[in-house]
Amino acid sequence: MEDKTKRGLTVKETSIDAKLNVIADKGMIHDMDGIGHWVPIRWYFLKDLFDLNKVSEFAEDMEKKYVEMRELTCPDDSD
Amino acid sequence: MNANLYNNMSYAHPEVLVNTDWVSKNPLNENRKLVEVDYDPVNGYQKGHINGASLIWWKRDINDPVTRDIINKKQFEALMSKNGITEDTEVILYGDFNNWFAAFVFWVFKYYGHENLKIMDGGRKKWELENKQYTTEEPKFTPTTYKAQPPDEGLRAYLFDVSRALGREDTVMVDVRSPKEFTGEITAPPEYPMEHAQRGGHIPKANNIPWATAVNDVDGTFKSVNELKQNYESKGVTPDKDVICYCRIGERSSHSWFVLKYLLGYSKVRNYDGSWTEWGNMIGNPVEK
Repeated sequence: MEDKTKRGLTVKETSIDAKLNVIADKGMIHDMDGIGHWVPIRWYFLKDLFDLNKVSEFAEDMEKKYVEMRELTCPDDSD
Repeated sequence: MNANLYNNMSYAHPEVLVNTDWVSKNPLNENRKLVEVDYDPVNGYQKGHINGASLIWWKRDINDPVTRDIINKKQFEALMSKNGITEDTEVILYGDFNNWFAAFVFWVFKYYGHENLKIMDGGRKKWELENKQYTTEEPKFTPTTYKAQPPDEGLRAYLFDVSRALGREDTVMVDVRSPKEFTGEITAPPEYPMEHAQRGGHIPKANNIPWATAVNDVDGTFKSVNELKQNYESKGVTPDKDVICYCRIGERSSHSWFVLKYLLGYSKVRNYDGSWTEWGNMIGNPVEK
């Protein structure tokens, strides 16, 4: 599973993502103060441990988060 | 090995550089201070720094907290006082990100007239490659009274200086960003999402000479004087010209400013710290892609 909003970010390490408890490629994003934060770019789900439905749940959660962020920054006022 | 090592490199001002061995062998004292300059102190200074070094955090200490500008004279004097620095102190700067921000702070120190100033060649990168020691202990200083000089505006280019220089034969613009930023393919790398501009591209007729072409990739140290001359002169950046360096926020360009002014000895070099995040956001500014 890949976070497409992190496209182009350099992979700096591959380690366990504590939130999903799977191996993930991680990069670093610097905030307004210059402080670097580790962020997962893509996750590797082992077929033996995760079925497609479970991975889809994670993907839907990620999509939901993006919708919320879009609403916060660019609310759709066409209604 | 000592700072005179750099005499052999034939730099115009070898006195502004020291190497990592010199720093590890020459103890600090009341008149010699070591300052780490970080963009990201959480992943730098706070995890470990050279013994006795104090921290200057680029964002917090060198920028005005409200207006986009470097600190003013009074704020600079307060920063010097906090770090135990007097007008006569020998200050050695080093830092993260290939000394980009150390070079920016060098530029600000010179802007306010501090004389005895050096950069540790290679910064954190070289120190770590050599497995030299770090500590997490932070030094304490007795506050000093510091009287800064009036700003040396000859070191700084403002938006109007750059606008006025457009099309002038005697002025050359050096864009030190990556080729992708220069062509406008990206406005900032994905690692720095807060540093975008509304438009991509570069200032018309600017030369793209990325900052990295001035350093040895393996350890971040500066290239030899002959390599540096070849790097700039072959692109028309010659000592007889007025040179204006810029990047995205003015830090990489101060690194190139340092190279041109102190290693090659160019007399007329200015850093445009507004850089692309100012130029590329202004309505009506000409942009070349």
